[in-house]
Amino acid sequence: MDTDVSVYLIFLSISGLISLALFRYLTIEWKLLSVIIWLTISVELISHLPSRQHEVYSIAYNLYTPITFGLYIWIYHSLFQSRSLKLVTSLMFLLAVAAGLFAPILTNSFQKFPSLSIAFCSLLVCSCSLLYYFQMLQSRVKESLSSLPTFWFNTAVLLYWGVFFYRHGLYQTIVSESPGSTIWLDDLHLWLSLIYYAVLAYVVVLGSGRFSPSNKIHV
Amino acid sequence: MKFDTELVMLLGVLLIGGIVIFIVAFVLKYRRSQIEFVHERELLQRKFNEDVLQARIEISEQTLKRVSMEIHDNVCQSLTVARIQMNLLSPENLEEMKRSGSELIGRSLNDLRNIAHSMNGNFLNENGFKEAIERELKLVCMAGDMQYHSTWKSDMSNHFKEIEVILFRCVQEALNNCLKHSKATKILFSYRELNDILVLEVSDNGIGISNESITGLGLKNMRDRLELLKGEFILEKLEPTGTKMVLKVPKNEMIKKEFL
Repeated sequence: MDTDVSVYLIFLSISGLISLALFRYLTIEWKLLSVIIWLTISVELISHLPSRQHEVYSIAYNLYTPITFGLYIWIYHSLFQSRSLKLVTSLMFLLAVAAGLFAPILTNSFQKFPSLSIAFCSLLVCSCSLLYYFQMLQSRVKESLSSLPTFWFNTAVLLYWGVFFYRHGLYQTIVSESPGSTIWLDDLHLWLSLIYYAVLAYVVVLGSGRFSPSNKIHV
Repeated sequence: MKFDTELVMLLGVLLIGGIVIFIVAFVLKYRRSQIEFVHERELLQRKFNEDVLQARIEISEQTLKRVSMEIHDNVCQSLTVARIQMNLLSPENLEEMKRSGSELIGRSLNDLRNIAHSMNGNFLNENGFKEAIERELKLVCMAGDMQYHSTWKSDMSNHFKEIEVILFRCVQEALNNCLKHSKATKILFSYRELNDILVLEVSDNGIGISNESITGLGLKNMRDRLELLKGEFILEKLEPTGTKMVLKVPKNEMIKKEFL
């Protein structure tokens, strides 16, 4: 296993442990986020096992995609305050689960990495993120951004899944599907993942309210 | 069909750059609206403090006005009669005048004692909202020869003093209106909490409120003050006669977020 992959897995495991330790203090949205982190740990461990088979890892990802993206959209559903945005996220939830489940069934490609489903679901999640920024601007109470777990979560989601969409939706699909042609993008993605899960751990810590900095407004 | 790699990479740079620029722009915009929000809150806070101060002044003025009225109407009258009796003093009516004079002076002393008590401007702070309202009802009804009945369906405890001052001043103004304009014989006061709302009602069986009074300064001040507390002021004409004033204010938690 490469050193950077090991570092990534260690970071991911630390995030998982933090969310496990703080789980009982979390509100529903951050509990869902913890579940996502644990699911990611499981699927990443499967995909980086030395004896792993390509098929097993692809099937794991095919199952991981609808569940994880469903959970992401569920988080946004609970974060949105307006009824119309809640309705939109409910529809997105159905779309994400349907795309994650039916795309491999229809194309009979359970043995393939679900690039297209992930790219599509990334777009949905990025749309939720943009809508959430809109809600934050509309909100009357303006707390300090640095102490807002929702801001960090939203920013991390937009950046990470934006890059994910580019990697799987654009680059890999329209430029090259052959292994090795996207090494630079894979490296970028690996380091981005490392940062992403570190930020999610920070979100969980802030969301637990136990170690969060003061919520007073700093101007 | 495969596209030009460099073009797709450029697209990637644009996409990621776009996201980063968007986030930076969001942070800047959020920060600007945060500053505006703080400024707005400070203005609101200042207005709130000014209003509380104004309400305190009005409470004191109202107290002084009542004191002056009491001195003029009761103490002065009693002492004048006592003085006349002193002038009419003769050996024949000495005993009777002495008894009557002593009675008058005793009554004056009693009135002065009551006035001294009512001059305590800090009564609200020292005794709490409920006691202050009860005392106000008693004094107003004594002055106007009216009866009153008060209902408290919840304790006015753990509320902020500033809010109590404003509410007390509103109730005082409402009672004062009853005394001055209503010609009522009975006043009903009630206090209750409905979900997250405090509801105070003052009603009387008087002649009802005229259209001129509705646009009066006193009622306007009450309305403005309650709006500041995110509350509501409702004025109703009762059938067959009488007026009802309803003051609704969100409970502490909500007010606290805005002002304190």
